[in-house]
Amino acid sequence: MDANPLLVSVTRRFVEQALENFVDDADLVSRVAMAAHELLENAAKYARQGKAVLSIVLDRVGDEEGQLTLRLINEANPAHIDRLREVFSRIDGCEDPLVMYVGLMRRNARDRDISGLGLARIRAEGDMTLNLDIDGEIATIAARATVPAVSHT
Amino acid sequence: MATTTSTSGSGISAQSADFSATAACQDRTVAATLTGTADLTAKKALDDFLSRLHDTARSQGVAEVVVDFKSLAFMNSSCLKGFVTWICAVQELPPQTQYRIVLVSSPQMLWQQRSLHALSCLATDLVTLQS
Repeated sequence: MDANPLLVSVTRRFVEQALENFVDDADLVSRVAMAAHELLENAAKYARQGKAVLSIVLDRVGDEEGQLTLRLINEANPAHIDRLREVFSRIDGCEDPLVMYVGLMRRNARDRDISGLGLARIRAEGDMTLNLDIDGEIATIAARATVPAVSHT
Repeated sequence: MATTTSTSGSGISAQSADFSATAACQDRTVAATLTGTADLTAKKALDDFLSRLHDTARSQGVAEVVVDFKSLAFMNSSCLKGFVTWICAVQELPPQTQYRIVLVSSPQMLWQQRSLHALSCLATDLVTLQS
């Protein structure tokens, strides 16, 4: 898709409505929709040529516990890739995602140009694990959440 | 992305495509309400609104600013950052001129519970949550 800022909210609502058909967990749907929004907005701001691919994979057998993966792929310039690596080193090294997130809020409070909070928000508020893969100028970010088993009690 | 902001008397308002914010001062409290979706298209309007909200709260010497999020469908991290900047600005005021901040959420809006809790962790002595 073209990572147009105007399309980001439209896509978040689409993800939310689509997931509601497959996952009976309003909290999880809300967290994943937020993550989709933040990933796409990053692409809208930083992807080369404004192009990005977002995929959602729900990996679950029957009613058993499963995993949901959001994956965003886009081309990025070297400066942005360096920044992504820096953010991921902070996220990967943290013991408590909320403490890391609030610390980042304080650190970035005076920075007028960027929020720098999107990925930390996915980790802390979304309770999703994050993975970064760089191949040349192609950045792939995967955000994963556990989908709880369906209870029939 | 057209945005409009205005201040009249003790009232403040801001509007963009799918976002609006209003605030009014009564006695020693400012009551603000946010509506719609706070995404990239609303960032400038929200930042201007929060800046004028802070100026009004200081000039009127208010004790409390109450922000009602209940009709806000979503807020992105760029707009959340606007609240971070505002809360940190209140924290940096001399203690006698600081004012309390109350963030009101809807139990049905699950993102609000998570995002506003994180914001409150910035300044537990100044920010309280209500739902």
